[in-house]
Amino acid sequence: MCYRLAFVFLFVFTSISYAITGYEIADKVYNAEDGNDMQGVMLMKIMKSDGKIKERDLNYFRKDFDKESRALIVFRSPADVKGTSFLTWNHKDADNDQWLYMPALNRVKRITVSTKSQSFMGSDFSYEDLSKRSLQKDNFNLLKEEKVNNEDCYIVEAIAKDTSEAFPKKIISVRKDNFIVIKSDFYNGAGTVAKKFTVTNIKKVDDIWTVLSCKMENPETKEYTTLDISEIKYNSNLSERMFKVEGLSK
Amino acid sequence: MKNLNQKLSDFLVDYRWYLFAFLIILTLGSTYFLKNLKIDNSLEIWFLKDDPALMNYNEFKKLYGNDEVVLAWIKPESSVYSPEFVSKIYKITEHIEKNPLVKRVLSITNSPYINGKDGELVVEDMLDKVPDNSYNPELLKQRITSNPLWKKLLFNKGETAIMMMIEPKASSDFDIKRPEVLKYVNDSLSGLNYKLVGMGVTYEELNKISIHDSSLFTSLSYLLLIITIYVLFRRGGLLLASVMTIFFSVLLSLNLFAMCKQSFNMISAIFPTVVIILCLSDAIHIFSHYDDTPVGENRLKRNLYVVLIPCLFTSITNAIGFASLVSSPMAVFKSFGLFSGIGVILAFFVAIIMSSIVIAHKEKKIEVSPENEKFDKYLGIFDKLLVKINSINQKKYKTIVILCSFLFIMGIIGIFGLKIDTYSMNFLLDNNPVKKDSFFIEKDYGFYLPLEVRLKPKGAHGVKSPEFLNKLSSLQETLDKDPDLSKATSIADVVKQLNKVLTDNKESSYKIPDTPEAVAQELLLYELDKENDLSYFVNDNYTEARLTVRIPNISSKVMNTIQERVRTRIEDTFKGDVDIIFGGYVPLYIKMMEYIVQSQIYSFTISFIFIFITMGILFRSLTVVFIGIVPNILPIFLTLGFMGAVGINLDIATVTIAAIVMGISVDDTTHFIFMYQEERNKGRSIPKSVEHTLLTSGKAIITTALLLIIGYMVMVFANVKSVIFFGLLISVTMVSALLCDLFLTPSLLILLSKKE
Repeated sequence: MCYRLAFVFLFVFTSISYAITGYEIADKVYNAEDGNDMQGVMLMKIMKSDGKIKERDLNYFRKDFDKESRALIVFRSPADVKGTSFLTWNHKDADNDQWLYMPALNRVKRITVSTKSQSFMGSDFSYEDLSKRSLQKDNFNLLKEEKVNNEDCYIVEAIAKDTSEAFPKKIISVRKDNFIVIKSDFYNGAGTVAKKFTVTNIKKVDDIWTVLSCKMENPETKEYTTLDISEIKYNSNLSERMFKVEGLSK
Repeated sequence: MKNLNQKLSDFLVDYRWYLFAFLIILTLGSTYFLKNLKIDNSLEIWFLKDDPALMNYNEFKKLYGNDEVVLAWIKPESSVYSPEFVSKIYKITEHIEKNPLVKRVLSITNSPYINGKDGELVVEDMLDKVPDNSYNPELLKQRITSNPLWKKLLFNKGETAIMMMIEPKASSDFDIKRPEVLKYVNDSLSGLNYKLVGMGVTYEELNKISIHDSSLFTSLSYLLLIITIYVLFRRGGLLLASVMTIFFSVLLSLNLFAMCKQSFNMISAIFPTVVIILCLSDAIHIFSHYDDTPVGENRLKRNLYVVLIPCLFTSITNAIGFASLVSSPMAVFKSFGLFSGIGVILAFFVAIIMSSIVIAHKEKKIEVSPENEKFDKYLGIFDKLLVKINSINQKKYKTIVILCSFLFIMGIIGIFGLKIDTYSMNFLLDNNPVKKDSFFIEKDYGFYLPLEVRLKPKGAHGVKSPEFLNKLSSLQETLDKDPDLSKATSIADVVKQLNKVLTDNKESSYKIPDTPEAVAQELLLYELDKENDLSYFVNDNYTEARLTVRIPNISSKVMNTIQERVRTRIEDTFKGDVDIIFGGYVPLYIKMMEYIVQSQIYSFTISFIFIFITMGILFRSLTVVFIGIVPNILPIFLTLGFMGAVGINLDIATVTIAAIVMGISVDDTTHFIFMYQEERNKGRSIPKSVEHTLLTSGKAIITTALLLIIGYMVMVFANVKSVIFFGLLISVTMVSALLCDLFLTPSLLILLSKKE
C-alpha cells in the first residue's frame, strides 16, 4: 500500500513539474538570435511627469565583439546636434565605457557618469536594459506559465546575487515560442515595482525576432519612455572601425 | 412702510420661540461645515483665478517649478568641509530628498559636479557617499569651487556657512502641505545651528499668527465687550442677550464661511471680530429704547416698532459698506466683504430674536436697586454730558462747522503724505524670529528673494545663440554690481561650465562657445544625464531662458522700482532682441499695490453711493442725506490724513478702512437722523428736535461707539502689525465719527434751521 501511495505521489509530482527550468529559459533568452550586428533608426520619446515630451531621433548601430557589445548612436536631428555621436562599450563583467563626439567642437570626450545616472540618452531605459546581462548575475526560478498579451509565456523570477543592486528582483514574462522577453517588472530593494518594461510590437526582421516598439515606465512618477525602431538591418557586416574611439571623429 | 414694520415686529415677537428653535437647529446643524475651514496666506489668495498676473505666475510655475524655495542657512562648529559636518549634510540632504512632497534639494553634497579630469568628462554628484576615511576636505572644496555657480549660491559671504535649497513640489493644495514640509525640514535640521528663510517660511509664520490672533481677538473681543456691557448697563438680561447674540451670530457666520469653502487669512481673521462688534450695536439699541418705551401692554412690540427699521437700515448700510469690497479686483477682499456683509445681516436677525426672547421673559421695567443706582449714576453722567454738548451745539454751531472744515482740509493735506505700499515681512513684529532671520541672512549671505525673468530671444537659434548667451552673461555681471541685486543666475552659467570642461578645462575656456551648434551639442550632453537640472534654466525647446536675480525682501513699491531697473538693464543689453516677461512671486506682489488703489477707490465710491441711496430711501429727503454725508466723510478723511501724517501705509491690511468705517459710522448717523425726523414729525422745531434727539439717542450712540472702540482697540495686542494698525485706525475713526455725530450733525441741522 505504501509503495503504491509513493508511486502515485511520485507520478503526480512529476506530472506537475515543469519540463524546463528558469535558468534554461534565461539561457535561451540570452542566446536568442540577434545577429552579429544590427543597425536601425530609433525614435525615442521621453515623457516627463509634467507632461513634457523630449524626442531623440537616432541612428543606432550595434556590433558584438568577443568581450563586449558595442553600440554607436548618432543623432539625426535637430540640425544643430546632427552628427553628435555616442559610443558605448557594454562589457559583460565590468562598467561600461562611454565616449562622446561633438562635431561642432571636433572633440571626443570620454565620459564618466555616476552609477546613479546610467540612463540611456536621458530616458527611463538604462544601458543594461538594452544590452545582455550576464546569466551569472542572477538566480532564476520558473514561477508559472500563463498568457500575457494573448501570448503563452513563461513567468520567470530573477533574483540578483548581489543584493545591493538597484533592482534585486525582476519578474520576467518570456514568450514560449521565441524566448523574447515581452514584459518585465523591476523590483527595488523595498520590494515595490520601480519600473515596468513592456513590448508593444514584435516582428521578425531578416528572420530574427525583433522588438520594434517597447516602453519603460516608472509607476511612481508616471514618467515613461517609448522606443520605436525602424529600418532595421542585421548582419550587414558593420565595420569594426565604427565602434572604435578613433572612428568617432571620422 | 409703517404697516410692514408693525407686521414684522409682531411676527418677531409672537413667533420668537419658533425662530429661536430654528436658529439653534440651523446654527448647530451647519457646524458640520467647520471642518472645511483652512488657513491660507499665500499670494494667490489675493487674486481671482483668471487674473492675468496670477495666470502668468502659474505659467511660470508650470515651466520652471515652484519658486517658493526654502533656504536653510547652516553653520558648522568648525569648517564647512569638516568630515563631521559634511557627513551630516549628506545624510540630511538624502533624508529630505526622500520626502514625497519635496521635488529637489540642492546642497554642497548633491549639487551636480561637471568637470574634466585627465581628458575625461565627469558628471556626478558632488559627493557620492557619506564621508569615510578616504574623504578629502580639500578635494571637496576644489570640486565645489570649480563651478562659480555653486560658490555663488551655496555659501555665505565668508564661506563659514552653507546654504541648502529645498524646492517643494508645486501643487494646487500646497498651502495645506506647506506646514508639513517645513516641519519635516525643521526636524531634519534639528541639532544644527540653522536658520530658514523663503516666502513659504514667511507665509507659514503669517498663517500661524493669523490662527493665533483670530482666536485671541475673538476671545478678547467677546470678553471685553461682555465686561463693558455689564459695567455700563448692569443688566443681566442685556448680558444674556449679548452673550447669545454673539455666540450665534459668530458661529452662524463662520459656518456659512466654511460651507462656502473659504479660507482664513490675515484679512478674514478680522471677520468674526467685525460680526461680534456690530451685532451688539443692535442689541444695545433695542434694550436702550425699551427703557424709554412706556410701560404697558405690548411694550416689546411697541419698542420694536420704533427700533426695528433704524436697526435694520443700519445693518443694511453696514452690510453695504462691507459688500462694496466685492468691487475690489482682489479675491480676498471680495470674500471678506461679502461674508462680513452677510454676517452683519444675520447678526441683525439674531440680535432681534435673542433680545425679544430675553425681554419678553422679563417684561418689566428694571427696579431700582443698589446696583442700578450705580447704573443710573452712569446714565446721569451721560445725561449731563449730553446737555453740555447740546448747549455747545446750540451756541457755537457756526464755530463747530468752521472747525470741522479746517479739520477736513488738514485731513486732505495729510492724505498727500499717505504712502500706498505693502511690505509683508513688516507685518511681523521686529522681535519675530522669522523676521530676524531674514534680515540676518540678507546680511550674511546676500539677498535671497528671487526676481524671475523669462527671456525669449527672437533669433533663429533661440537660447542656443552664442550672441544671446554672451549678452546674458554680460547682463548678469552688470546686475551683480547693482547694490540692490545679487546672485544673478541663468543658463549662461551652465553653458560656460560645460564649455570649460568639454574643451581644455582651463579657466580661459569658461566662456560661451562660438557657434550655436557647439552650444547645442554641449547642452545635449548635459541632457543625457536623466537627473540634469536644465528644466530650471530653460524651457523644453530652448526658446526661452530663465534669468534669476536675487533682491531684498522689501516693500512692493521698492520691488517695483527694482524690477523696472532690471527691465531697463535688460532692454539696454538686448536692444529689442528679446521679449521680456517677469514671472514668479515679485510681479504678483507688485500688482497688489495697483489693486489696493483700485480697491480703495471702487469700494469707497460704491459704498458711498449705495449707503446714501439707502439713506435717501429711508428718509426721503435730499437735505437729510446731505446732512448725513458730511459727518461720515470727515472721519474717513481724518483717518487717511492721520495715516499719512504718522507714516502708516495704505496696504493690504488697511485698505479696507474707508469702506468699513463708512458703513459703521453711518450706523449712528442713521439712528440720530431717524430719531430727529420722529421729533420733527411731532411738530417740534429743528433746534428742539436736535436737543431731544441728542438727549435720547445720544446715550445709545455714545455707548455703542464706546463698545466699538473698545472692541477694536483689542487688536493692538496682535502679533501682526497690519492688524494692530487696523484696530488702531478703526478706533481713531470711531472717535472722530462719534464727535461728528454729537457735534457736527446737530450743528449742521441748527445751521440749516437758521438759514430757513
